[in-house]
Amino acid sequence: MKVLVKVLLIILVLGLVLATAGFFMGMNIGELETFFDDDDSYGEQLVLTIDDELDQLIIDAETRHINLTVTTETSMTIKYYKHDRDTFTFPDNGLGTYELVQKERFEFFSFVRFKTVSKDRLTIEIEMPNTWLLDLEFSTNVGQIKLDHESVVTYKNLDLDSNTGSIYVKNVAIDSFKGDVDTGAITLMDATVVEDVIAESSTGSIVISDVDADNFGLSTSTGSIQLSNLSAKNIDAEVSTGRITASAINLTDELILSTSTGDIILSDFVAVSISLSTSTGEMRVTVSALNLYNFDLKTSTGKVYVDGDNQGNRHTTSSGTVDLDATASTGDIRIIVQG
Amino acid sequence: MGRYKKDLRYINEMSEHMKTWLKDLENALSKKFYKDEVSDIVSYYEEMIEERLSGGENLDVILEEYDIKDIVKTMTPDVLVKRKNDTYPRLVRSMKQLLATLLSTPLLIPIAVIYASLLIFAFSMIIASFVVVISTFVGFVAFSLDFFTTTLSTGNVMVLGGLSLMMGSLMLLASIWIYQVTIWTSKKTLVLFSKIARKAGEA
Repeated sequence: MKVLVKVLLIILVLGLVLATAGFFMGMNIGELETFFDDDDSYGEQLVLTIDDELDQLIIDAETRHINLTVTTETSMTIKYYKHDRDTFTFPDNGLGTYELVQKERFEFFSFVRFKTVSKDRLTIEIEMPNTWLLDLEFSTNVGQIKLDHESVVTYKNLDLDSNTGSIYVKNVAIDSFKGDVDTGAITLMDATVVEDVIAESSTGSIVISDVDADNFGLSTSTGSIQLSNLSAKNIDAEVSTGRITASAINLTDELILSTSTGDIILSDFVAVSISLSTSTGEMRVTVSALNLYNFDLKTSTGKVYVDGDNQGNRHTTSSGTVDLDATASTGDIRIIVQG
Repeated sequence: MGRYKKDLRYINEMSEHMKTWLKDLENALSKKFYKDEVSDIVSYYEEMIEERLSGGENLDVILEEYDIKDIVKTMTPDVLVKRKNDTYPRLVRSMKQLLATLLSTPLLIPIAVIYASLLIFAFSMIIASFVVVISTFVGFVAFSLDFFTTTLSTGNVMVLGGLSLMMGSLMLLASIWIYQVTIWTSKKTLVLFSKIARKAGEA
């Protein structure tokens, strides 16, 4: 071991001498930057042009971000960069459907890279004519899916799936939304959805804001769920380890929020029935008036507070028209009357 | 004459009894301790018994006072304090024995839990140091593949080559030092907890 340490110390000194000598022999920082920059190996940008109007666009990428924007042009363009490791294929799915599949060849040391690549080289850019009405089915293993529009863009259905990236959708009018991520976040903002919004995440958060839909089915394991300005029939949001925050919720049927280890914070809501449950978190529900609700509030080892008053671990009323059930195991339940 | 023969037979029987007991003790000790440790303990008890015999005590009474299982258990911390854990298998064996001794005494179970936690930490550090070594080699190979397939000026080749040698050697030195510090700490912890177990045994 001592000999090994001596050898390593000698190598360390040798490296220091070599680096110092190289520095004085004319180190070129620009060239060094090029060494660590892998953009050049992606070559020139490739552009596909699709003139015939489509019904469906499928992108199945392994290591690419997907970014869709709209254009006033009459044809769709798909722009991407291709590395030697990449293969892009275009399976024929019949008239009206266009599919692009990107795969990356596995190289043994590819997981240890000292080279960096700028984001634009790893992004498939799609420019869609604003008059087209498409079903979008996008999936990527390592990348973000982004549909960020300045004004409302209409699609049929959105089916978006990312393993380690996030999904961001803003300003859309769609038939349905399905988002699925493993470690990223799902954000859906300013949307009108005719049917359901389904969002599932393993370790990421879900943020839904300013959305009208038929039903919301949301679930995440270790992330949080934030809901604001939503209109629908039902909302069913489930978290294993994380907080649920909901405000400005307008439902014609049922609101179900449940978490195992996290708080539930609910305010400014309308629904026929509300069911809230948490194991170890606290619940804070802000209501406009107490007499609107039939409360059934129970906690095992926590306390129930209604308008600041301690009600022990159980509180029930039947004077209202809206059922509000809340169940906690070790957390407190607080019903706060809005001043 | 008859009485002399009777006495001689009695002495022989007693001597056989003692030899058998010492053999049993040696066998029991051999399952846990190294040869030199076993012979030290056996000699110690042999001397003590002979001393008590010469003081006029009866062998059966003396041996009744010594339970072999108890001897093995009470001697373990003492042996572990003195043992030179100069090889990795010896150190691992000593750790296991100490943990088993601590766990076998209800009063020492909290100490055993603390010791077990420290062992887990030490094991994690050793694994971490091995991971650093492996990742250094993998990283070095991956870097070399990039390095030798790129055309650079002499100055930059020297700078990058020098820096990679420095980083590689520093990573390997760090992992060696983590390993050495962990082993050194483990040895010291072993002695410390053995002393605690010995004190608890005396009390």
